[in-house]
Order: sequence, then structure tokens, then C-alpha cells
Amino acid sequence: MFFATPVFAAEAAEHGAEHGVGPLFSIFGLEVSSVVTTMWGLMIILFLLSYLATRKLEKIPENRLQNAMELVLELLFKQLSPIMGGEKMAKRYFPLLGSFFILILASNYSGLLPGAGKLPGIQAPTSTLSVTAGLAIVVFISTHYFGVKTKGIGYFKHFVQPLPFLLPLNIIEEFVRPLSLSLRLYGNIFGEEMVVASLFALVPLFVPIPMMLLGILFGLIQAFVFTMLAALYIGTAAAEHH
Amino acid sequence: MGFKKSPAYKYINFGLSFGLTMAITVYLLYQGGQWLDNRFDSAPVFMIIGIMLAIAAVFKRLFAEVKMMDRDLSLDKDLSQNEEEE
Repeated sequence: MFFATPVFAAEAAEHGAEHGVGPLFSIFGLEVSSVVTTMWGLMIILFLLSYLATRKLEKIPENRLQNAMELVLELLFKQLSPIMGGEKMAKRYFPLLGSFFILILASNYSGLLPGAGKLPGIQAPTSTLSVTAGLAIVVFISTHYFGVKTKGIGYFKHFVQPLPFLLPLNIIEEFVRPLSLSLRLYGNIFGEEMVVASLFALVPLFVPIPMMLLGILFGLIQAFVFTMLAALYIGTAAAEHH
Repeated sequence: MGFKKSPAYKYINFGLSFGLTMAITVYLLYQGGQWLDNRFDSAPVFMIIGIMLAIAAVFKRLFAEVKMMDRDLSLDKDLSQNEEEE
């Protein structure tokens, strides 16, 4: 049956609104949820892919995996270098930014796996605020760390620029950044998952497919936006001439 | 030449993210103000101060972004002129 009865659909949509399943098990008193297991899976897959791609590095690669990885990373590098103010800067911070992009992209796409968010053990990590907030905190700390590393204590001068009385406004701005970063990513991925879940509950076949296709696009855009903003923040903080 | 034109999506992103940043700033400082008001029984003084601070912070950000865009655009313009001359 392609179309569910309205009562069933409404009930299913209501259940669909409950995101993910509860904790799966606990280790040393810490609850392990589907988000954590998915993140572990992604870490293993990304580690294996990176290992296989870089095992025998060649200048002119014949290894297809190395070729594919170089293509993706070069594309990202070309997009990030004008934002960061040159290839030198982009090269310096690319390991961090590239990792953000690949991890967020893989996390977003894990939500498109069959049963994601419904079956125990699979749920897009970026559809929970704790994961996106964690990533944003890493960006926040890195921004200030690289700023201090490049400029020393003089980095903090920008908090009283252009005028000293703007100090509270500058501090507010700094703290709003990670919140904005995390909420944007979480909101987009969680929203997209909810729409797919609701459509799936109403009409299980074919109807959710266009939304899932859009999910592929949104996943890419959100990963890119997060990386680009992180690049912008780090680039501004660590710029030689502020 | 080391300098490259500023990518257009830098500005598109500003348009997309400015609203969110503004909403978060105002909400956070409104909540902070309300919390202080409850603590010191001074409603609505801190709430108003919080909202005012948020609006000021948002406008400061807006001016800074517009200034940066203006600088980028003039650099792009100079670059285009140089390319035409060459």
C-alpha cells in the first residue's frame, strides 16, 4: 500500500517528531546513543579511507582513492584560500578546516542512510545540538589560539578596537559566533531529517525521494558554510595585518 | 599575482547568516537581562539594557561587514582595471 490511512499517518508523523532512539548502552556510567555509535562508525570509515588513500603516495597518482581525495581537497583549498587571504594561510590551517569539512559532510550524509534516526545505532551526528556545539567550540578555541599564537598578547587589542568603549560589544560578538555556527548546522540538518521522517510516515514510497535529494545538496552546502565561516574567523584572527 | 578576486559566496553567506546572528544575539541578551532582573528584582532594567546592547552589537557587526565588503569590492575594481590596462 503506497498511501497510509490519515489516522495512521498522523500517529506516525507524531512518532516521527521524536528524533532518534534512546541510549543504546552505557560505558562507565556514560550513556552511548546512536549519535555516538554513528560517529564511531564515521571515524573508522574516514580513518580507513585516509589510510588507504595515503598509504603509497605518488606524485602522479594511479591510486583512484588518492586521486579522488586530492580532487576534493584541492577544490576545497581553492575555495578557502581567497577567504583566508592567500594560499600560505590556507595551507597552514587546512588540516583543521579540511577535517571539519569531511567530518561534517560525512555526518550530514549519514542521515540519509536507510533507517537513520529510526533504527538503533544510526543517526546523523550533526542532527544533535551537542555535536554541532562541540564543533563550534573547537572553532572558537582554535580562533583565539591561532590569534594569540600569531600575534601574541597583542591579539587581544582587537577587542578594544576601533574604540575602547566597544569592548562589551566585541565580547558579545565573539560569544555569539559559536552559537550561530552550531545552531545553523543543527537547525538545517535536524529540520531536513524531520521533513524526510514526516514525509516517510505519510507516504513511505517515492514522495520522500525529492527531499532526500535536496538533503544531499543541503548536506554539502552546510558542511561548506561551516568550513568557510571557520576559515573566515581563523583567517581574520591570525591575519598578519589585522 | 597573489591577490585573487573575492568570491561571491562570501557575500551570499553574509546575507544568509546575518539574520540568524542577529536573532541569537538579541535572544541571548534578552534572556541574560531577564535572569539578572529576576536575581536583583529590577525588572525591566537589565532586560532593556540587554536588548539595547544586542542591537548595538548587531549594528556594529553590520557596519564592520559592510566596510569589509566595500574594501573588497574596491580591491576587486582595482584588480579589474589593472587587468584591462595590461
